[in-house]
Amino acid sequence: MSSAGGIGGIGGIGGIGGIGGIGGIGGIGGIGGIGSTGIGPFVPGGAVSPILSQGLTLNAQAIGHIAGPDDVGDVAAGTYADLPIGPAENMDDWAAWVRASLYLTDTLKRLDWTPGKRRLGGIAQPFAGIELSYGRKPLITLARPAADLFRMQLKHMRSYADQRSDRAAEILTQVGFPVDYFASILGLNDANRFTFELIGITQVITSHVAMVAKHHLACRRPDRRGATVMAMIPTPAHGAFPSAHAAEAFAVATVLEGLLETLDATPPAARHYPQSDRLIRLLYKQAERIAVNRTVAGVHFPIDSWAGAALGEVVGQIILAKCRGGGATHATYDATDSDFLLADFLPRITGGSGDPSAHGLERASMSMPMPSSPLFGWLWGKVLNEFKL
Amino acid sequence: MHSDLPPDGVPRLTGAYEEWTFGGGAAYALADIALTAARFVAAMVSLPAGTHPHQFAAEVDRRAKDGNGAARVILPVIWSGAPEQSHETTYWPIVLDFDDPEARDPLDLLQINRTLDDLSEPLRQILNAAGRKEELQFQLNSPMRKQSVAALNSGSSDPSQHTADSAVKARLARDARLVVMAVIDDGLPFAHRNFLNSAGDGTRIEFCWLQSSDTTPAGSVVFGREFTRDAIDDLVAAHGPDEDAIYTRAGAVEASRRHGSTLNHVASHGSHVLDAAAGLRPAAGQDDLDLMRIIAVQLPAAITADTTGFRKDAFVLSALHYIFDRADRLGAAYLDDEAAPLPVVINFSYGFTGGPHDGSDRLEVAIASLIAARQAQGKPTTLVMPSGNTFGDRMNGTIPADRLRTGMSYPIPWRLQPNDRTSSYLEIWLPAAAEDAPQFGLTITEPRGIACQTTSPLALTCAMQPRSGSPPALSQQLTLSGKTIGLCVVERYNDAWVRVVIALAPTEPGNPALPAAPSGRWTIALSKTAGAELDAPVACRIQRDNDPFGYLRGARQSFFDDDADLRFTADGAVSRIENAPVAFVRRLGTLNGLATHDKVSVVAGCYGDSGRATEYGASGPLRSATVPAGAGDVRLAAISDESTALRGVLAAGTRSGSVVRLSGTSMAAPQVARFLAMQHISPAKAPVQAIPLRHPVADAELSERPTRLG
Repeated sequence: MSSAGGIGGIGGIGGIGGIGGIGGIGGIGGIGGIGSTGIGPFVPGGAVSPILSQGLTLNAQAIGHIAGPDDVGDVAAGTYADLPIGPAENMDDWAAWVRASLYLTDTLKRLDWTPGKRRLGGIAQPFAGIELSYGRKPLITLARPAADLFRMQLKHMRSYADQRSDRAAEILTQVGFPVDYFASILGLNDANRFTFELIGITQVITSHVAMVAKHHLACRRPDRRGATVMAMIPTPAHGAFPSAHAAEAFAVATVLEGLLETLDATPPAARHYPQSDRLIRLLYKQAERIAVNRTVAGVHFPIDSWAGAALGEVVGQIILAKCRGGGATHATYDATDSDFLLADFLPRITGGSGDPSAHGLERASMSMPMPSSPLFGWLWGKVLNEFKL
Repeated sequence: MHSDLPPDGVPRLTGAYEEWTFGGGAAYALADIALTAARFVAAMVSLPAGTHPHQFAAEVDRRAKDGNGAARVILPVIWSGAPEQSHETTYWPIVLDFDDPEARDPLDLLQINRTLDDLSEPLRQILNAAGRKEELQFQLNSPMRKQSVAALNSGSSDPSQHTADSAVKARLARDARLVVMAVIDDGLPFAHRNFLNSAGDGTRIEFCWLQSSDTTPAGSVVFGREFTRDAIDDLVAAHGPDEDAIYTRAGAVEASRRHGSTLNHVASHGSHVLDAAAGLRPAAGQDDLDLMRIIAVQLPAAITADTTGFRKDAFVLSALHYIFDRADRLGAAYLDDEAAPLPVVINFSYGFTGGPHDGSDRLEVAIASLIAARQAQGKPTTLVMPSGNTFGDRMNGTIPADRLRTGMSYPIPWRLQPNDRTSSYLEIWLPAAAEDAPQFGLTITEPRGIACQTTSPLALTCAMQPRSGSPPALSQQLTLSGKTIGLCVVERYNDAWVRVVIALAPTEPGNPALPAAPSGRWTIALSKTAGAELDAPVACRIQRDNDPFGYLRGARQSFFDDDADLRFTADGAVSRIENAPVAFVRRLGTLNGLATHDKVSVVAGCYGDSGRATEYGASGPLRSATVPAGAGDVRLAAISDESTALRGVLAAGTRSGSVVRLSGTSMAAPQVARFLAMQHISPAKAPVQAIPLRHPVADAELSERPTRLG
C-alpha cells in the first residue's frame, strides 16, 4: 500500500449516504413505551399544535353559520349505514398503528411460557432455561448457557472486532430494524407499503418474543464479561441471549422466503421474481450478516445469534401460518462453543454439509400446524397484490 | 569449540535482530506466541559451501538417536533442483523443533544459541576434518503456532500424484502452451470465482499453501495446510456459493488472539494482487486464462503484520522452494515431463527497506540462486516485485564520505513518533576492510540531549571479523536512567559489509510497566576515529515500521528528521525529485531492499491519466548515463493510481463479485507479472513497448523508468 493511496481508497466503503429513514422504521418497536411499532407511531398523531387547535376553533365559529342551525339531521335525508363487523373488516380504514396493535395482540395472545419449566412428553419438568409455546404447542426451547461458555466465546469477540472499520456503515445503519437491507434485495420501494407493513410487524412481533426470552434467561452482555470487548455502539439494556437482531432478521428472511414461494406458484413465464432461489439465498445471507454485525460491534456473542436465529425462524413460521396457513417446527437450542455461520445453521440454504445438531440446535422432525388469522390473511392479500407484473 | 565467546559464554550463531527481539527486547514483542513457550521456531540457516540441508538434518537426527541434542531440524519442501553442492554459502528454510514447552525450561536467546551450537556440531566436525573453520549461521524468524506444524519431517516427499485438468491437457496436445503464475501474499481467496476456468466448472489454482493454518493429519506440507485443485473444487462443491463457510471450514481463516484473518475483511492485499495477476476479467474478448495455472502461497499473518521484515526469511524462501517443487509436478502432469521448460512467473508484492541494497542481502542471495538454478534447467523463471512506496518517506539517508574526513561527528537525525507500540530499527552499512580498517565512534542521544549509557564507549571497527560463531564485534544495551531502552549491535554481515543495527524500544509499550524509548528527535552521532578513509558514502536505512493493509498493531513509522530535506516544492506539491547534495535524506536509493539483485523485475507505479511516475514509487540510486542498466534499477511501471484525485486501481475484494480500489506499487507489480505470463501463452507475442514516462523537465526528475505497461 502506498501511504498516499491509503485505506480510504476502498471503493464504496465511505459513503453512508442514501441509506436512511424509511419513516417509522427506526424505533425498537413498542417496547418500553417509546411508541414506535415499526410501521408507524404506536401513540397516534403525536402532539396537536395549540395554534392549530385555536385556529380550527376560531374557524368553526367564523364559517359555521353557512350550514344553518345545529340540528340532529333529517331521517328523510337518509341514515348512515353501520360499518361492517368481522375479523378483518375495515382494515383499510384503520390507521397503520391500529393495525399494528391488532397484529401484535393477535399473535401474542397465544404465546405462553412457564418460568423454569419445560414440557417433556406432555409433563412439565424443571428447566434451566425458557420454553415458549404457542397455544399448547412448544415452539422454542432455549437452555441457559453456562457462564463459562460465554467466557469461551470471548475469543470470537476478539476475532470479529478486527472487522469494525470494515462494517461500521452497516452496523450504524442497522441499530434499529434494518429494513433497507432486505428491501434492497427484493427491490422494494414506495409501491410496497403493505410489504413493508408485513416486514415491520414481523420485526415488532419477533422483538417482543425475543424480549420475553431475554428477560427469563438474563444473560450478561459481552462487555460485562470481557474486559477488552469495548463495544463500538452503546450496549442495549437487555440481555445478550438470544440476539433480538438475529431473531428479527431470520424471522424476516423466513417470511420473505414464504412470500417468494407463494409468488412462484404461478407459471414460470408469469413469475414476478424469476430468480427467486438466488434471492432466498441472499435473504438468509443478509440475516446472517446482520446477526454477525452485532458480534463485530461487540454487543452479541455468536451463541446469541444461534439462539436468536432459531427463535426468529419459528416466529417467522407462525406469522407465515397466520398469513397463508401452515405450521411451525419446534426447535431446541442447547448452546455449544460455536461460531455462528449460516452454513451451520441452515445448510438447506447454503447447499453445504452443515450439521446444526453438532452445534446444539435440534429441530423437530415434524412441523406442527398453527392457526391462520383473518387479520394476517387480509395483509397477505394486500402484499401479494403488490407483486403483479 | 570457540576461542572467543561473549561475556555470557554462549557462542552466537544468530544476529543483531535476534539479540533484541529474542533477547533484551523480547518483552516488547507483539508476536502471537511468546518465545519462552514456543516449541517450533522457523529459521533460515546459512550452510558453509559443500554442505546440504538434508545432510544437516540427517546429522542432527543421527545425533538425536545417540541420545544427544535438545532439538530437531524439520525441513519443509526443498525443491529437488536446488544445488546439491555449492562453492558458496547457501541458505535454507528450516523449522527448529525444541521439545515440548511443558517438559523443558522456558526458551530464551541464550538457550537457543546453546542449542544451535549443539545442532551445528556434526557439520562443524566434518568441516574441521577438512581443515575448515566456517560456522553455520541462523536467522531466527517467528515462533510458530504449535497447531500449524506437523512434527513429522515430511520434506518434499509427498508421494501423491497430481493429475492434469483433462481439458487443458487436450489443448496442450494440440498447439497450446502453459504458464504458471505463482503469487506469494496475504489473505488469498482461493475459492474466488475469478480463478475459475473459462467453463466455470473448476479452479485454475493447482496448489495453494496457507503457511500458518492448522495442519491436518494427512497433510502434505510440514507447516500450514495445502489445498490442491481437486481439494478446492471439492470445497466449493460441498459448500455451494457460501464463501464465508468455505474459508472457515477449510481452516483458512487464521483467527488468532492477536488478529483476525484479512480474508474476512472486504478487501485483502492478496485478493487484489492475485486477481490483478491471474483473475478472470468479465469483459468479452479477454485473455484466455485456462492455460495460466496458479500456485498461491499465503504467508503467516504474523509475518505480514511485522513490516520490519526480519521474521520473514524462512517463510519466503520455503514459499519459493514450494513453488518450484509444485511447478515441476505440473510439468509432469501436464507436459508429461518434470524437466519440461514450463515457464513460471512469481509475483511477490512485499517491500522492505533495510538491507545492504547491493543484492547481497542473505535472502536476496538465496532467492537469486534458486531462480538461477531453475533457469539453468532451461525453465523460464521470472520474479516480479514492487519497487516500494517509500520514495518520500524519509527512511533513507547517506553521509558523504568527505564529510566523515573532517574529523567531526555526523549527527544522524532520527525521529521516533509517540504512541509507537513496536520497536524501531536503524541500520548503518559500513564497508568491510581487510587492512587498515576504518574505525568509528558512536554516541546515541535521546531527544532531550541525554546520551544513552553503555557499559563501554561505542567504538567499532570495519575490520573483517572471523567467521560467524564469534560474538558480534559490539553488542551493547542502551540505557537511560538505568533502564534498558535499546540495543546497539555491530556485526560483520558478509564479506563486503559491516552492519550497525540500533534497536529502540516502543515509545508506548503494550505493557506499560516496561520502559519506553522517549519519542522525539534522537541523534545518532557517527565519527570516524582511525583507519583508512572511506571512498563511498555511508548508507543509513530505517526499517519499515507501519501497519500494512488489514492490520492494526499500533506501529508508527520513524524517519530521518533532516532540516535540509525539502519534502515539498515551492508550490506545495510533494517533491518528486532528489534532494540537494547538502541534505542527508536521499529519495533515490529507496528501492525495496529485497529487490536489488539481478534476478528480479522491479515495478514502479504511474498515474493512469498522465503516465507520470507517482510521487511515492521508490527508486534505485541515480546511475550515470554511461552505466548500463542492471540490478538495482527500476525499469518498469504500471498504473498504481488512476490519477492524483482518484487513487488506486480496481481489482477483486475477498468475496466473489466484490471490487475494491487499492493504491501502491504492490498493485502495479502483478499487472506486469500478468503481462509477462501472457507472453508465454499468447499466440502472438507482444513485446514490451518502450513508452517514455512523461516528466517535468527538471534535471533530477526520475528518468530511470523508461518503460511502462497499460
